[in-house]
Amino acid sequence: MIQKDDLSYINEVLAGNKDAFAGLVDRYKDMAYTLAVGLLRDSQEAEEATQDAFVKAFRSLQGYKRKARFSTWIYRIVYNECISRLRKRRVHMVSLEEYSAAEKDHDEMIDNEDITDLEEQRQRVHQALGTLPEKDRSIVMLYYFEDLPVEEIARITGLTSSNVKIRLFRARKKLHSELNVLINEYNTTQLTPQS
Amino acid sequence: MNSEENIDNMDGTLRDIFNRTGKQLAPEDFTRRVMDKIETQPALKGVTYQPIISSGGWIIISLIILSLIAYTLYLSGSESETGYFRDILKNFDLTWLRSWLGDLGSRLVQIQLSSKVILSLLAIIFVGFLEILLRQKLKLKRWSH
Repeated sequence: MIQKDDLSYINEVLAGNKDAFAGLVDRYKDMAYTLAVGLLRDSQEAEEATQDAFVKAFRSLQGYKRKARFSTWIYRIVYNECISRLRKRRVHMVSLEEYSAAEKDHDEMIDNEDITDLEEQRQRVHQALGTLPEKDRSIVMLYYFEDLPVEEIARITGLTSSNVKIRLFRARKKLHSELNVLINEYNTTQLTPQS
Repeated sequence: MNSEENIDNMDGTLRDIFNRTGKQLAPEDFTRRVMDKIETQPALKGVTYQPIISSGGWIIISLIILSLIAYTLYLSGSESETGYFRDILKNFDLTWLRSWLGDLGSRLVQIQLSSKVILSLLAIIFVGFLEILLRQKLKLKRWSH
């Protein structure tokens, strides 16, 4: 089955067919949600933020300049929505220390367990991402999950390309040390000959 | 192992781990929930690209200009400015254009380009500029398909 391209969906939506927007939501919802979960660290709020971002994208679709890819545009909206929610969170005096302490407890709990399945590995990665500053976290997710080039990540996050590169380098080193156990396990499985 | 190789290895390992653990999947009914919210929004009024001069219009304009050039080059004498064109051209003194164009002007004179050809070229440029100006004024942008 031939997949419609983004512009076909956009043209249909702009011609008054709201339902065509579902095609765009389906295509980008997972990465948008991944980005939101990574930034907000709360699946419930991430879902709300992602939904709001898609509604905002729908409302301002006429303003979408077709110079950039639609994915870049939608991820930028998701990113801005999450950053704005994080700011509100800080204004509402949610204690970050409390938040970090809760995360630390959770990390320690996981540390005591063997990494046996994919879900646990996912949690480990999620936690390692949690140790990074918000911007670095989003850069890492866009780089590793979505394979986006540095220039596009710069457009989404509003940073310069060189800044993205520096942050990526720093984040990579930090992640490598955070995921040490997982990486050792990964290297062992890579070196073990397949029977 | 140099530091560049180190970074590449680090990058490769992390990429594999991220690929293996995968993206977070949005909840199953996520699209439906977004579409429910969108249903409450007014439908978008599409900005459909409509050229000020349609492609048919451009063909007619081109044909008129081409016939004018053909008439100038083949049907009329290069120096004879007769009838309607003579009446129009007598109001135009194009010597300033020739001097302004300098070398190019003298070359045009050498190839005996008549005033009508120059006027035709100016007309094409004028129509082109007119469309650009009107497009900017009406804020219409060509849609890329």
